[in-house]
Amino acid sequence: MKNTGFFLREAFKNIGRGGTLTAAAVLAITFAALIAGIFGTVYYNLRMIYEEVRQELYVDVYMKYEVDEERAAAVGKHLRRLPGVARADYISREKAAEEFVGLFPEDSDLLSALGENPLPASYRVYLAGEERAPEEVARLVEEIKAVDGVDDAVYAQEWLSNLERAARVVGVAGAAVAVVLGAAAILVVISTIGLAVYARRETIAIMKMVGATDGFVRAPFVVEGFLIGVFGGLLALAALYGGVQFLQTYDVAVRFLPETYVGAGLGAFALGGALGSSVAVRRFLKV
Amino acid sequence: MTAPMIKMRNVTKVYENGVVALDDVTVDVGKGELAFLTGPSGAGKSTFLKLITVEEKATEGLVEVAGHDLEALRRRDIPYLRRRIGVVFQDFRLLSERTVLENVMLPLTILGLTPAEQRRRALQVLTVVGLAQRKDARPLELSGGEQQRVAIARAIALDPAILLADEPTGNLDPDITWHIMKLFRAINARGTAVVIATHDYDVVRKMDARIIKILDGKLPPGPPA
Repeated sequence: MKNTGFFLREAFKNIGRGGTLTAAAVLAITFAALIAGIFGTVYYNLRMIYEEVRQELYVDVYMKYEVDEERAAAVGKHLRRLPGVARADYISREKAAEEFVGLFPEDSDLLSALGENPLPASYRVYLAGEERAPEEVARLVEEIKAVDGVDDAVYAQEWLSNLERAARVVGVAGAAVAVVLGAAAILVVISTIGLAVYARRETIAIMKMVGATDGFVRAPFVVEGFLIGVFGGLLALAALYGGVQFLQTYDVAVRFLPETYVGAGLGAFALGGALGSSVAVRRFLKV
Repeated sequence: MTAPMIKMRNVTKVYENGVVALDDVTVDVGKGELAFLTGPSGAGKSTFLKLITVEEKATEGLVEVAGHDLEALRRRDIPYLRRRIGVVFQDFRLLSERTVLENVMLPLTILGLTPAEQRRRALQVLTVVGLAQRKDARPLELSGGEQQRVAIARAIALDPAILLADEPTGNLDPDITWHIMKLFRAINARGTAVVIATHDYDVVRKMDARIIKILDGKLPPGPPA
């Protein structure tokens, strides 16, 4: 566009003239973006933990006590043939006892006191595929439980579904809060730019008198709104980044938002700012 | 006479509050003509000019400017018509935070000329009005007469077909008024139709030019112009 330079200069001049008013609009955006960013960060981190746990998910399949080595091998064969099973590692009763002692050394006398090894043989079954929906895992576990010779199958179901539920709640609540705060921020931009436009109504009238199109008059304000959105978003990001860094120095394993979230957030606030300005300037164009 | 630059046929303008500003006005202003629009305050002179710049629309009748029927003109085409009409006001209406040069450059910026070309054209018209040396001043650092000359430079920057002036010397001393009038005449001599609304009959009498009288929104009967 041939007047881009002019529009940018005008927008920056307007921002300069706006002073505290513009600063207030930027801060309103910053506040809204920061809240949205905090929700986004919590959601993202829960999501990541959930994904990691899901990747490492395994099911412990306990044999019935009376199952001997031969039967156990047959069960293992069966398990490995089930769709969705990647690997099944056999843990014999002896190995289970060793692991128990390894895990709880102070209780090792418990086993010897019993005289007989009370631990059943088991298989540690690793699941295949990247995407494992909780329902799918539950179905597979039911299938495993039905295998002859299997006593029980245990996995971190409750924890996993709780985690997923938490991520979903944070996600939905965050989205709702972001929408409300985003709308509030846009209203602030509309009224701020509205005041700026009002202060410059004479200039607008003169511009229109010498043949400016509505688009020409509107453009600098829209650029101003866009910049307010971007500045506000960047300030919020800086604050958020600082917060994450701060937590990390205290060994809290918080991850900063990925680029896609950052890009989408900045884009949304920039667009909101531009849109707000466009609305604000419209009613002053009827000259 | 060639096709008129401004053509009004039975034009009536009634404002929303019921005030009849123009009542059955029929008049032509030719290409390259210089005309004074006279009448007491509130006679309808400003409304007459506003109909030409499409700030207002006629309630009834036909208004044609540079061959365009304004009733049929689409809203988005209004800016392009206005680029062919220069307007000068009693209160100058300059942008006080911009320099003289920037004020004159504004219509050229809107037109989308390169910055160098904007500057060149603006300096050219500032030279015409004799203010090239004040290009970096702010309007409020200038005298009233100088400010009006800047406004005139801005109005003629796009080399308009029509120049409208609404009480252009209402705030100025007699000597300066005379100087401004001579400027209008020079602009008119370059082929621009000039319409000057004024209630200053002394000025009008001294300028040997056509006079369009308005009284209570009407053109008094007389020999057709």
